[in-house]
Amino acid sequence: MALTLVALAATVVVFVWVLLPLFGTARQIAQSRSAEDVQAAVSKSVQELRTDLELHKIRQDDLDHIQAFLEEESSK
Amino acid sequence: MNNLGHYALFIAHGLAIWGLVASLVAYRTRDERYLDSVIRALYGICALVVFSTVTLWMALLRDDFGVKYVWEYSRRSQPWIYKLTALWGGMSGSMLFWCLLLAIFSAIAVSLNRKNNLKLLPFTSFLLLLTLGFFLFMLCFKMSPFEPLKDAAGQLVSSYPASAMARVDGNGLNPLLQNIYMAIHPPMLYLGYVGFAIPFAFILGALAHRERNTFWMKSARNWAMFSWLTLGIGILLGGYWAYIELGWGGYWAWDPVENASFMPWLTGTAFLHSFLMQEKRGIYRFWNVFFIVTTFLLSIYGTYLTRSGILQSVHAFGQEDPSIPWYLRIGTVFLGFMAMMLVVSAVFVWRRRDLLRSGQKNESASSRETLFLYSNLLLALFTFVVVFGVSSPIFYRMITHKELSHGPEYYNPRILPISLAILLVMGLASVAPWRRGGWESYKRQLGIPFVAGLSALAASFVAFFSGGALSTADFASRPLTYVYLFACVFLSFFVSAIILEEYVRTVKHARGRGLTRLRAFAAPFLENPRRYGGYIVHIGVICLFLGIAFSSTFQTQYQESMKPGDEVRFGLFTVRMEKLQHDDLEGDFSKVNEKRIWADLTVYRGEKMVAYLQPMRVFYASNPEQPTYEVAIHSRPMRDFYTLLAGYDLKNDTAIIGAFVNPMVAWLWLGAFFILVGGLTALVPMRRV
Repeated sequence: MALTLVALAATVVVFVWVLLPLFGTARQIAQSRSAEDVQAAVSKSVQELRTDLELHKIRQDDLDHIQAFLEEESSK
Repeated sequence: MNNLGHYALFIAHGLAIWGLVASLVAYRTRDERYLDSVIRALYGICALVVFSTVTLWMALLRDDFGVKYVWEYSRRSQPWIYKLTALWGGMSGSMLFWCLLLAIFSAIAVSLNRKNNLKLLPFTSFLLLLTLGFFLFMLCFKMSPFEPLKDAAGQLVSSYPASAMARVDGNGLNPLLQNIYMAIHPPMLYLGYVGFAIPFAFILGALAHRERNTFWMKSARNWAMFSWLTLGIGILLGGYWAYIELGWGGYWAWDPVENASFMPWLTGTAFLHSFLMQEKRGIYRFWNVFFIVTTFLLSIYGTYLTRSGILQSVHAFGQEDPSIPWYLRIGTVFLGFMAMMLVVSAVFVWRRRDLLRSGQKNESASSRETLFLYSNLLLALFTFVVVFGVSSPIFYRMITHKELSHGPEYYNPRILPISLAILLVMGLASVAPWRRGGWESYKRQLGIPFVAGLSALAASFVAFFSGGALSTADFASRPLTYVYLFACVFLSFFVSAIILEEYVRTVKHARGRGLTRLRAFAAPFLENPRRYGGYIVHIGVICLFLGIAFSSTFQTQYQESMKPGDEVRFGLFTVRMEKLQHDDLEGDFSKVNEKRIWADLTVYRGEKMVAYLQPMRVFYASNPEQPTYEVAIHSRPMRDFYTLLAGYDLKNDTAIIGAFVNPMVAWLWLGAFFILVGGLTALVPMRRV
């Protein structure tokens, strides 16, 4: 009996805690990113390619092309 | 207390159902309040499943035989470590462990991405909750680890008086699982299996939410890398366990359950490589979705193969009651879940097919992008061979009611050429230029590696033929085996030289930027940890290739009956048996967990004593009729001298000693070390230059 009561109490407490945010003010999930975030993501993606530029495994114009493509994709 | 563990699972299941509804509402309305509620539901599930697991662990440690699971997989004399590992010794316990890891990983993944990838979380959480909900459903309604034990009269054992309870003892853990490597191997595999659920959920989440930015990829990639690494190390630990515990001198037998863990590792490898291309070039998006969905489904398939009892294997556990209708069996429920996830994935791939077109093309057949595609095609082919080898006997039995099994004779002729092609592409992709690159890059960088490969090939020819390890008659008897071996030697040195050459060139450039020698040596790993971590992994893979090639080609086997004082020559080694000893085998097993018989062996190479070995057989209380092997190995980099107590006659003081000389097996474990170090390096955050 005591265990059942403990289980019931725990269930109520957990569900109240989970449902509590629904009683707050409505707000939309942010869908866009900051320009800094976009730039940071692209520059990290391109960092390895810059090493390859030093090792002659990519041409400068190819690197520019790839960087421009990634920036364009990320800004969509 | 055990009831509370069971209730906790029910509450967690309720939270999962609510979370599913709320995540769909958050996905449709973009209302952050519902997403907050979903995140709280995930945290709540995590806390409740942790509580439930701790409850079961407590029951195992306290020898609470009122719980059927504890009675089935533990006993009083079992060492505490194996009481803890009994959590994954049986079907319902291992399901709880699966659920525990997924609940913890989901809570961590959601928490880490709350700031930067909030917009992806509604659908990502939906997929995680769907998977969690499935496992919680299984635990609540199909196989509770907290089911009470009843005696033959139907009375609950937990209601016995204390004096009667003290006389109850359990069956104990399967003796084969009472090994320290078996204590580590399953959790490592599970970390990998379960971990792949996170990148799966993130990638489909990104697709559902139309995310094009590369920012979210870091999280998915790190989870995939972690899962790939733990699964790979888990597979190698399993190989080591098989090597030292099963007493057959080998480490891999293409056993269906071994293959079950290998399949998602292969597709996970392909995923990590093609994902790199999506990050760098925005290409292979469809491949990435295909590989991560396949990896996730193969992880579930692997769990299904192990748990459903559909396979006969030393590893498989769990037999279903044939009186249960087929549609209520655990295997059917697993297949239903896999089908549901496949449909959900296929629907989103179809609805978002416009996002999967890359807008970029492969502009050269010799570019790095194209070589990555070749490697993925080869890995996909490799996976297909293994999936077919594992699955076709199941379908064959369903249709014909006859048994069929595939062993090395099926796998080796198909896998060996594919593996060597993968090794070649692995090397060439390291020097391949990006985008429109021509052949100049190859010409400039392949000269030294080619000479290194040829030199190794020539040296191995001379060593084998002049050293007596190989005769022309041997070669003529198995020509293809030796062709593969020599191809493996050439490619291993060729690829190693490519990696070393690239590292040296990068260090020189770092020195050119004015870095000190020490900083220049570290610079490649700090500035490009993923690439150079990947190269360390590749070195590990080369070690594995060499270890497998040499140990499987040149293994020699011996067996002799010996009495104390006898000396017998096993290849290069002479073995002298000193004594045959044993524990008190007559006494009962109520106080001890194991009893042993062992041979004391002194091993000489020439006149020099090189090792003192004690191969033994161990009788476990849980199954004393089937003693397990505890082999004794004198291990050196170039060969293992592996001994086992194959038989014994205590009345006549005679032992049958089995021995194997296994060349270069240590290279497998060295390869595992490199893979671990490389994988961890690849997880280190990249330092901005």
